[in-house]
Amino acid sequence: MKKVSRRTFVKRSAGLGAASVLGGAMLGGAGCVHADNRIRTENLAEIAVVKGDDCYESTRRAVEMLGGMGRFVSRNDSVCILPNSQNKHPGTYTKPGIVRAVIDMCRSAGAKEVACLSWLPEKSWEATGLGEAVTEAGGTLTLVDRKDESLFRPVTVPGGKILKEARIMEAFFRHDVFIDMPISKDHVGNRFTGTLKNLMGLNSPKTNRAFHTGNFKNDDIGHLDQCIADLNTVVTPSLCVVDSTEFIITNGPFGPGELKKPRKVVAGIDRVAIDAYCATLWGLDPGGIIMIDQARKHGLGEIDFTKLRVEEEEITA
Amino acid sequence: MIGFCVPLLIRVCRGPIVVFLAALPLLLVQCASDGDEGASGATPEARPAVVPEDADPGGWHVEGEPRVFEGDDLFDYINGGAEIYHEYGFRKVTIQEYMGKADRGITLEIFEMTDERSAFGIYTLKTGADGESVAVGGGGLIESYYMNFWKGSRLVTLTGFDDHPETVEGLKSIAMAVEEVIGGVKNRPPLVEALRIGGMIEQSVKYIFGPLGLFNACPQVSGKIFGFTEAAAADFKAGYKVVLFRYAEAADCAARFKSLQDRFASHPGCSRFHTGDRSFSVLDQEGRPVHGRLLANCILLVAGAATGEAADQALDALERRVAELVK
Repeated sequence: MKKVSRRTFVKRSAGLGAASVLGGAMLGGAGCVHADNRIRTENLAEIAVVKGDDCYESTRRAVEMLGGMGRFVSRNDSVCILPNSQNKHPGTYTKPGIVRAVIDMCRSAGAKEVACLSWLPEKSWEATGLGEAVTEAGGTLTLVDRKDESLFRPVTVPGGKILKEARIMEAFFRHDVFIDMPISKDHVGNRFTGTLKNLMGLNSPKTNRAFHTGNFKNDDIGHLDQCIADLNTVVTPSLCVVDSTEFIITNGPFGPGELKKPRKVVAGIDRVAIDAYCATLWGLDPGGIIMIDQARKHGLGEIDFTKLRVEEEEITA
Repeated sequence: MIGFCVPLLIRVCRGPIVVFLAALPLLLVQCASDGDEGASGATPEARPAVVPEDADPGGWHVEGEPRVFEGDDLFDYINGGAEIYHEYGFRKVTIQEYMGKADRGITLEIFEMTDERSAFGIYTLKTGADGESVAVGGGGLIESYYMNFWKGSRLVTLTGFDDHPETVEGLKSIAMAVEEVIGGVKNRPPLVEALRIGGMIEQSVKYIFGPLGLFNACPQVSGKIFGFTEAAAADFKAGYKVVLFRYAEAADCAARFKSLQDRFASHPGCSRFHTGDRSFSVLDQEGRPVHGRLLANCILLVAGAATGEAADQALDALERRVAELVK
């Protein structure tokens, strides 16, 4: 076991965040999380950021700073996780160490199952090492045939400005807790991808294609962004754990591209605030990213993340 | 190809039946070798001629079979980023893995675009301002652990998985081997040549086919100008940026120029808007001077010039180049 010393500093502790809602509804109020409601959240980080070279340790510490996995996962819960397994180009996929850490913590919290959901082919999971990470940690890799639309449940999007119906993986509805696990990186279609855009990984590829192909048509530069913000109104992660250790800042989302290495794992509940924070890691203005701003307009979170309790730690060897 | 070395606990949902499978290493090995994407990602019957078996120096050799994605199936390969290739005109991509010494790997992707303009355009979008220029095809650039070059109607992308000197040499070796077997011209589009008014930073050139490319290459003017046939942009040593837009018809171009002026004039963040005969100037939302001029079926923009005189000189020079080279 590597010996670590910790240097903790609170970047800002405005004390503005009231006690956070425990857990979170996954979809339209269904599948509410029955997490440990004895945990007091007033003094916990709302966005936990841990910098270090060991992403497994950073992830564990970031979730601890939020109150521990027991805040989000109860005994016998069925948990689904959604890492990004784009391809094996450096800085394009969630690091296996982060996935291992989340699965380990879920199991320690008493989860009866941790399933990694995806409609990406097995090749993607092999090439990135994520399939191996999931199974070695005791999780299940659940691969859905992306060409079979019967495996995706139609979900009305009442507040959608463009997207009126999503098609969410049927397997998603069999779980109690949803953990969104993207990598933050560049995206050619809207400049940034993180927690909000990662939810397209639950939606049917056929519907997603309409998000992309409708983009920039008829002089509409925000079609993709709006569809993503709309999708997020019907799916709410219980927890977000973002890989910002190493990611591409050009040629996203597929790469290869220029790498940025902030060595950070970012965790929290507020998707808008987390994406806003992560966007600043390579100098983007969160307000200039239409997707984040549209999500804010939907009331999904706080774009000015400095209004939240952001705590940063660094783990040094 | 990296394989699973432990039995997977995997659940495969296909059709209405959910099958729970455990400990399937043999099946997975099979899946890894024959592809599971159905019609897309198919392995061709014979290795394409553009994919060399090996490359020296470095003893690089093919690992596994090539895969090919055509047309809209690119969305199955590039999950979430295929639309930019389609904007430029995409036909087919061939992917081949290579292995070298010390188990170092390189992925070769050969993107077959509709013509050499398409290939050059997507090349400029995928390459950055920094990197090591390599004399291969119509132009090549190594950036840390990866390399791009274009030749004829093809964009070739090589990705190593570290920036070790052996890997970087491998990128060059495989690139040279590919370049030997692919044909095609290396001429740059006239609109790009029209940018050469002196002081242009070569690696900053972007050749753009549509709004998505403009959004990525020139976000400052994205959302203000649409409907162009092609555009070219570059940074100059004097500190300004030039963007040229060409339209199919002069009448359409004039209407777009008027629309562009209106967007600047009505933008709450812009100031000091002045308009003249076929020209305008404005301070954009970032306080940067933008000078525009209409020339037949082209719009010429200079952004960030130190003085109005410098912008006018650049626009005069560009006007002469465009009149000479662009139809």
